[in-house]
Amino acid sequence: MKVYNGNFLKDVVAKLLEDGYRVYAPVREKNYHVFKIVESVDEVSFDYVNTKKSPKDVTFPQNEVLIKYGDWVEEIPARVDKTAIVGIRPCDIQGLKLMDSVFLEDITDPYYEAKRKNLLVVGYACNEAGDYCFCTSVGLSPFRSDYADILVTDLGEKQVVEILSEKGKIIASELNLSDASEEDISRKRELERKVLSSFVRSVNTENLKERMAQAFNSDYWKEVAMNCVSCGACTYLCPTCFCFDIFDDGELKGVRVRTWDSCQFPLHTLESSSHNPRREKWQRLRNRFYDKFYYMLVRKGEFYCVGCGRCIAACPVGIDIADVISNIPSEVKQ
Amino acid sequence: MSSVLDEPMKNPYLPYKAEIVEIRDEVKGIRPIKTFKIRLIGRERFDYKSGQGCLVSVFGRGESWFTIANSPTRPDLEFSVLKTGKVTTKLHEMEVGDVVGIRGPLGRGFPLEEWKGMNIITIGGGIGQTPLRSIYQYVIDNEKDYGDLTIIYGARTSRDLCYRDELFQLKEQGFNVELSIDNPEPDWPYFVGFVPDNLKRIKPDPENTIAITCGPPIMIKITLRVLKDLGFKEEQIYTTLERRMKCGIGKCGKCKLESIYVCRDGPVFRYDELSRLLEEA
Amino acid sequence: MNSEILEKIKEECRKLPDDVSYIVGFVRKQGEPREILRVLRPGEIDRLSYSPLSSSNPSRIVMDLAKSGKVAVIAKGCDVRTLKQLEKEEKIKRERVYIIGVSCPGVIDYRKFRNAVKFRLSEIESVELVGDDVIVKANGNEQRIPFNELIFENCLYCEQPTPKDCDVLIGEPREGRTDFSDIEEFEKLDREERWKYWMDVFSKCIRCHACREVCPICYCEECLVDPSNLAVSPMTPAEEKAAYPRVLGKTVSASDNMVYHLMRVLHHAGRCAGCGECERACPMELPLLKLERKLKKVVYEVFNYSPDEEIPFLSKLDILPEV
Repeated sequence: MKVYNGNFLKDVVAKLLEDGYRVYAPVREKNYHVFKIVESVDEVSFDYVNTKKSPKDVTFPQNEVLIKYGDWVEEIPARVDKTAIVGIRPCDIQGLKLMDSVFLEDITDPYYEAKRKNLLVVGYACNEAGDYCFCTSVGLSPFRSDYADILVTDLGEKQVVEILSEKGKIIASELNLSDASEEDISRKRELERKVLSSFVRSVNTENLKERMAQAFNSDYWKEVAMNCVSCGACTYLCPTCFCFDIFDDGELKGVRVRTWDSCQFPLHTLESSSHNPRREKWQRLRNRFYDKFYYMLVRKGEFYCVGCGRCIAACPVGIDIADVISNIPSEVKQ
Repeated sequence: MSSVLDEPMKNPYLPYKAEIVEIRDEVKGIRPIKTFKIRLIGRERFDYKSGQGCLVSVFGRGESWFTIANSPTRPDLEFSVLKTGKVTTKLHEMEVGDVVGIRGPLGRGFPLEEWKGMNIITIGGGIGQTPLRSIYQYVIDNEKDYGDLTIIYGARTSRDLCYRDELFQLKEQGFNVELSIDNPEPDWPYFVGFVPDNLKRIKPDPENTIAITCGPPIMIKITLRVLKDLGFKEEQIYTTLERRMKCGIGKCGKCKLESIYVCRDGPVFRYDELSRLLEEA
Repeated sequence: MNSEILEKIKEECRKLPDDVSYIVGFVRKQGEPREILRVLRPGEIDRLSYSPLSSSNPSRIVMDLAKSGKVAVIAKGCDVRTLKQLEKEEKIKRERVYIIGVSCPGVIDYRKFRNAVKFRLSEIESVELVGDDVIVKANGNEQRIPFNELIFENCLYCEQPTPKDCDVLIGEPREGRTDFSDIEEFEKLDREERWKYWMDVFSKCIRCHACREVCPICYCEECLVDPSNLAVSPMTPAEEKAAYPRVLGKTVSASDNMVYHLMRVLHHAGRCAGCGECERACPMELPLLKLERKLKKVVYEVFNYSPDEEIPFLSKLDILPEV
């Protein structure tokens, strides 16, 4: 464990820009923060709990051209610039890991791989839990991440810097780090205790798989979905939602593009024959909860929800994933 | 210009260049079905298993998933296309010599090696006969490796039967082909009624037999019941599922059914894999 | 003060006519002071809640529910204006709705509230409007914030704070006003500045369509601009599905987003009640009401039409004298 006297995050952004990296860092826009490509350190602001949109568009942009067609097909070469993301929270880093496990395993997605392979991840541990955060309920920690290259904890006048990979070592060696003292370490531990006690939300995941299995056909889901408007805001802001659509833009000559799509939109599963397996709104909403807490758990062994709480804050009608999952009935009257 | 002819499927979104070499009308009318024979340009046809499919690209319109309609023992790739939407309408307007894109082979096929030495029954309805054709052509070409073959197939009217001439020919050659239509027609010498009723009449023996069924959902539902009544176990019954598909490689989530990606873990499924699902397949 | 209003609401709900099957009102969300809409039965009156955060517009729910039974609804000025609009467009039958009108001083902007309040949201026990202050109570402590620091900006220009047509009215009637000073201020900027402002706004839009989905008058099953659903059946011919008109691609870019928003807003000419659901729903906090209000100003100045008239805007155009 090392420490840095000063603001490591800001200085590492400056250093990376100097070294020719494309740097994604949080930028303040009126009332909230979002990750953007920055040209200078002055644009950056680390004064936030979490960003409005998740940083998944770094590796999975909202629009992406796959191929160009005209006389025949031209492959769009996937970009391989060295890129870094600085100031990403541990929950979003887990989101990155969960997306990797879909896009990089089995058949590798070359467009995703090109962006992910050269991505340097500088994480930023949390100093307090947000009003909607519940990462601890899904097995994550707000101050630990095995998947970052560097993890930074802010102690005020200095920052603790944990170097977790070879890639991280290289960039960290360009900045002046010293070994952490006993006092530094105990201050960090104290901060961790404080963060853990600041959580106000939790999800009851006890017996979750069994509860969900036998509540599938319950009317509970119709009740939960009563206010839902199928807007898809939850899926667009979510760090682990990655459904996409592919379509051709241009009749004779054009591009084949992929864009974000949402399982909440009725068109997502509409077949050409007009049959729609999830025609009703409550079926689509139920699918979202099951996908995150059951189906992906079965397929990949992990919850596909990182507890960032963005969907709760954004839902225009007040549907709360933490409450919905906790209140799944354990005894279902058929 | 492009590297698509050199590195197959390295970029799984990049299609192979192919051209239409033959078009055959199967069913005419307001819901026409045509069979397209497509040949890859500049490369050997890839090897595949019966039941796998391809995403056929009509540039400017999009891609559609079609199960490969011919067995890998036969040349080229055949797809039977029902005109139903954007891509298929354009495809029906195309002519021999037109260029399309092929991404394949995709999905999981039928485990024909596991079925060696067993009897095979295919039960199809309407356009569901397509994947079944790929099976029975393979079984016919490898006659010695398999037991008895029974082809049960029906459609609404005699004009809606796909591969009609081919099936009549197989019947003449002595293969066990049982055809049916829903309502009586003059000059129809075979069974009149629904496919599951025909199956009930034929009463196949479940001993050492595999049954594969494809067709409209209601037909499959009743067929399954009939098969179970005849003594077939879930492990002996196979089917194919259909879903809206886009990427074909298990990423975009459109075809997702519970923890299964239909494009990747299917579209071929053994029935016991489906019966334990929560969501209705 | 809202406890008084809530008591009156509950009192009225106990006196409902016998043929009312549903009540659409607010309940307090678990874990934070948000008020969310709920459909209740006449026996569940105790679950009702009301506070200055009861901002949602119940019209969309009422429109769907009124098809199956008579609905009682707790509605503010802008909500009743929307109901009236839907009635003009023959989407709701007035006899199917029993309106418990609440005269509204304005609602609190939840975003401003979260920034101003010093407690954690989960600790807050009550949010009350007393005089000109909002009093927030939590764990025995209290915080007073002037209401004008928290009020939803749209409410400052409210044309109808008191419901015009309701079966019972709670609260003292208030005067609305037609005031487009915010739009006039914005119009003083030159074209370059305005274009830059809007392109900046549209570049933030993620096309989640939350604005359209929560809007009560965006009720088209097949939206022309960007269809979220297609009315197809097994009988729809393939040629029709193949030639389906597509105004916008699904690509998300500032210019496409601009087309989406402008086309959507244009369909609201003379119909928007100014309830603010769109701006509250937007996850990227875009200033969507500015567009609606600008259009309202144009309709007002050019056609002298306000959404409170008895006939729909398009019908008024038919009877206007030739210009």
